[in-house]
Amino acid sequence: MLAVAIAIPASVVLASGSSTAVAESGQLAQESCGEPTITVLPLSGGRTQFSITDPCRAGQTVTFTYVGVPFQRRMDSAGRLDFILDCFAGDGSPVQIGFQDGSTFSRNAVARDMGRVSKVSVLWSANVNLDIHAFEYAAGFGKPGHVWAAAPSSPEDARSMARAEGRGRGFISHVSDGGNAGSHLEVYTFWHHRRQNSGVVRLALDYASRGSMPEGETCGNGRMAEVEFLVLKLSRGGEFSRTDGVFEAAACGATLSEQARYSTKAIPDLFINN
Amino acid sequence: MFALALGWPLARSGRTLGTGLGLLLGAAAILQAPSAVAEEITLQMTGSQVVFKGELLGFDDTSYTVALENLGTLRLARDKFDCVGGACPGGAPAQVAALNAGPDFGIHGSNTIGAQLMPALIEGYAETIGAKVVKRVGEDPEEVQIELLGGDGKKLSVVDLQSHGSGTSFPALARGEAQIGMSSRPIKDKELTFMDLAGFLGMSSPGREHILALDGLLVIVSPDNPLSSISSEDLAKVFAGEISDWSQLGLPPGRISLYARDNKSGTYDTFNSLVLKPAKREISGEARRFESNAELSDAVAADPSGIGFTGIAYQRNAKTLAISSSCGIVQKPSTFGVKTEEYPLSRRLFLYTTPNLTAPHGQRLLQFALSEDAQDIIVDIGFIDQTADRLPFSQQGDRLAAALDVSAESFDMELMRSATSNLSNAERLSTTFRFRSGSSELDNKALQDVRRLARLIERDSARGRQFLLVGFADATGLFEDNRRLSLARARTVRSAILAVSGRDLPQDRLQTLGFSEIMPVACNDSSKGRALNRRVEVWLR
Repeated sequence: MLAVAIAIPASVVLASGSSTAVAESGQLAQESCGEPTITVLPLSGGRTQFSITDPCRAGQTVTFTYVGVPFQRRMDSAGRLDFILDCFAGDGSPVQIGFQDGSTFSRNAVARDMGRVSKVSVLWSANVNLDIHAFEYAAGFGKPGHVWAAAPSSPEDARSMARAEGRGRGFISHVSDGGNAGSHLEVYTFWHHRRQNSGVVRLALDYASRGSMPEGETCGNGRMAEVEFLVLKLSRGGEFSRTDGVFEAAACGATLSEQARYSTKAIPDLFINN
Repeated sequence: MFALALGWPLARSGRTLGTGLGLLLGAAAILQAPSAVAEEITLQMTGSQVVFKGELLGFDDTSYTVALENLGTLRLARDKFDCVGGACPGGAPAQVAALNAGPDFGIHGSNTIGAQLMPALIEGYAETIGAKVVKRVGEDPEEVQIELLGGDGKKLSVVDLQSHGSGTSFPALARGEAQIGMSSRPIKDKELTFMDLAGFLGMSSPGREHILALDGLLVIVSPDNPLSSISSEDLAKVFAGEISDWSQLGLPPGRISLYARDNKSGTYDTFNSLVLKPAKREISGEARRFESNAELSDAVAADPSGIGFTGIAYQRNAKTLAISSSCGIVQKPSTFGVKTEEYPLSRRLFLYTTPNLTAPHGQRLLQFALSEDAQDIIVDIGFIDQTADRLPFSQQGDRLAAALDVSAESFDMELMRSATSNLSNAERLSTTFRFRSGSSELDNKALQDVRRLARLIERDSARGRQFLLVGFADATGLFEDNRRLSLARARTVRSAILAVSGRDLPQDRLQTLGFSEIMPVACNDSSKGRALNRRVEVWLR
C-alpha cells in the first residue's frame, strides 16, 4: 500500500519549541561520521521498526519525518536507536532520517498487515495530553473492549481475540502524553476479521490534561484553553480522510459532563463494513 | 500562535449566537426599532383569542419582533396582529440598528440527520469548493461549529450545527437562530401554525420543504436476543409496558428494558405515529430516553434484555427485528422497501428552509445536499438515497402472494393476467409516486422524483427502453372506479414528466397503465396502508 500525501498544517505538526529542542540536545558529531547502519523491519499491525547503529553519532537527536510529520528520538550512549513508526498514513513512502549534525538519509516505510487493519490517528502539537478512547461493540467505560492508553491491548491480543470471536479488535499502536518536543501522535489500530461486515467502534477524544474540571492554562483564556488537532483515518481498503478539529475553551471551574469530556464529535466512529 | 497560522480569529468564537433578533433577518439586515428601550406590548391576533405579551424588540413593514418569556424571540406578521402598548409602531421616530451576525447560518434540529449525515454533507460540499473543514467541539456534544476555510486559510463561512431533535428545528427557524431546519418527520400542523404566526408562511410547500433522504425505523435488540420478528401490535404493547416480560413473546423469562429517543426527537414522533398511536397506546414511563441515536443503539446492543428503536443508519452493533403487519405481511428493513416506502416503518428525512437563508454558502450547501452528488454521501453514512434501484419481477414473490391473498371484491383475474403479462419481463424501479393526502396532487417527494425520472429517461443507458407508469388504488370504493382512478394517477405522473422534460414522448416509450386495487403493498385496514396503496409505480422493460 502506498502512503497518501497529506498536507498537514505547520501549526499542528511543529510545536513552537521543537527546533530549540534539537539545537539544545546532545553533542554535535564530528563531520567525519559516515553513513549509519539503518535497518528497516516491517512489523505487524501496520508498523515499521527503524534500527540505527552509529557509535559516531552517539547521543544525537534523530528526527524521523514521515508524511511531513517529524518525530524526534535520541541515540543512546552506544550510538543505538530503535524507533517504531506507526504507518498511520500507509506504508511505502520515504521516511527522512535527519541527524543533529545535519546529515540526512532516507528509507521507505515498510509494514505488515496494512490490508488487514484500519487506523484512526490524532495528531497535535500543544504540550498537552489527548487520549483516544475506543469502545468496541458498545463496550462500557472500563469494561472489556474499552481500549485506550491505560488499557492499550496489543497487536497480538487484538489479532488472537479477533480470531477467537470472529470479529475485529483493536489496540493503541502509538501513544503520546504530549510531553516530548515535536508533534504528538496517538493511533488506534483496528484488526479486521475477514468475514465481519457489520459493527461499529465508538471513538471519543479526551482532552486528558484538562480533565473533568478545567483549571489553570487549560480553561478560560488560558494558553492551552483551545487545542487544535488533526484526525486522520486510514481504512483497510486504503481510503484516507482527515478532519481538522479544535477543542473550544471551557469555563474554568466548570464540571464537564462525561459526554463533554469524552467528545465523540471530535473523532468519527469506525464503521466496519467489507 | 496556531490561530494565526491557520487564519483563525484570535478572538474565541464561543457560543456567540448573537440575539435571535439579529439572526432572524440575516447579517446584512437593517431593522427599524422603537426609539424607546424595549417595552412590553400586547399583540392580539386579528379575529382570534391568540394573544402574545412580551417586549417589542423591533419591527419592519411586515413583522414585529418580540421577546416572549417562554418562546424566546419570535417574528410575528404585522398584518395578522393588532399591537397595543406605548412602544407600538406609529409613535417615536425609527432608529437604524446594524446587527451582529454570529455564525453565517444555523442548521438545527434532528439528531438523526445532524449527528453524522449533515457533517458529512458539509464536508462533501467543502470538497466541491476546495475548502477545508474545521470542527470546533465545545461542552455540548450535540452542538458543533463548523468552519469552512479557503485554500489561503481565510474563513469562508461558519455553520452553527445543533442536533437536539426535530422538535427544536422550527422554534430555531422562527427565532432566526437557524436558517435550515433538520427534521426526521414532516412538519406538524401545530408547527405550521406556529411558523405562520412567526411570519413564515407555507413551510410545507415545495420551496420550503425538501426531502433530503429516506430512512426506516429499526426495531433493535441485543445480538444475544433470539427474537427475529415482532408484530406492530406487540411492539406497541411492549413500548406501552403492557408486555413487560420476554416470556410473553415466547422467549425465556426476563424483564424487558425499553430504550427510546426523547420527546424532542423526530424518531420518537415517527415511532409514536406509526406504532403507538394507531394502537392507541402511549410510551411507558419506564423507558430510558436518549438524545443520541448512537448512544441508544449501543446501550441496546449491550443489554441482553433491551429493545429500542432508531434510524436505519444506527443499527451499529445491535440486531434488527422484522416487522409483521396486521394482514400478515412480514417485512425486513431493506433498501428497496424503504425506497418504495413500503417497509412499514419507512420515513422521509427533511430539510426546511426559511427566506432567511441568504448566506451564499448556506444556499449552496442546500443545493449540494439535494443534488445527485450528495447521494453517495447519504449512502456512505447508512441512510437511503433517492436514486432509483431496480428489482426484477421474479424477485417479488411476496408481492404476488399478497396480490392473491385479497378479498374477491379486490381481485379481477383478467386484470391480474394483464398485470403479470405487462410486468413479468420488466424491472420495478424503486421510484414510486404518491399523492398529497386526500388529493390528486403529487406530494413533494413525487415532485422531486418527477425531475429525477425525467433525467433518467433522457440518459443514453435508457435509450430504447420502455417506461411503464403503473397506477394503483386502495380498496375503498368500487373496483371499476378504482381502475379509472389508478389510470388517471398514472396519466398525472406522465403529464408531470413531460412538462419537466419539455418535450413529448411517444406513448409506447412512456406508457400508462391502471390496475385498480390489485397487488396491494400494504394492508387496506388503516389510513397509512391505504395511502401506501394509492401509488404510481415505475417499471422498466
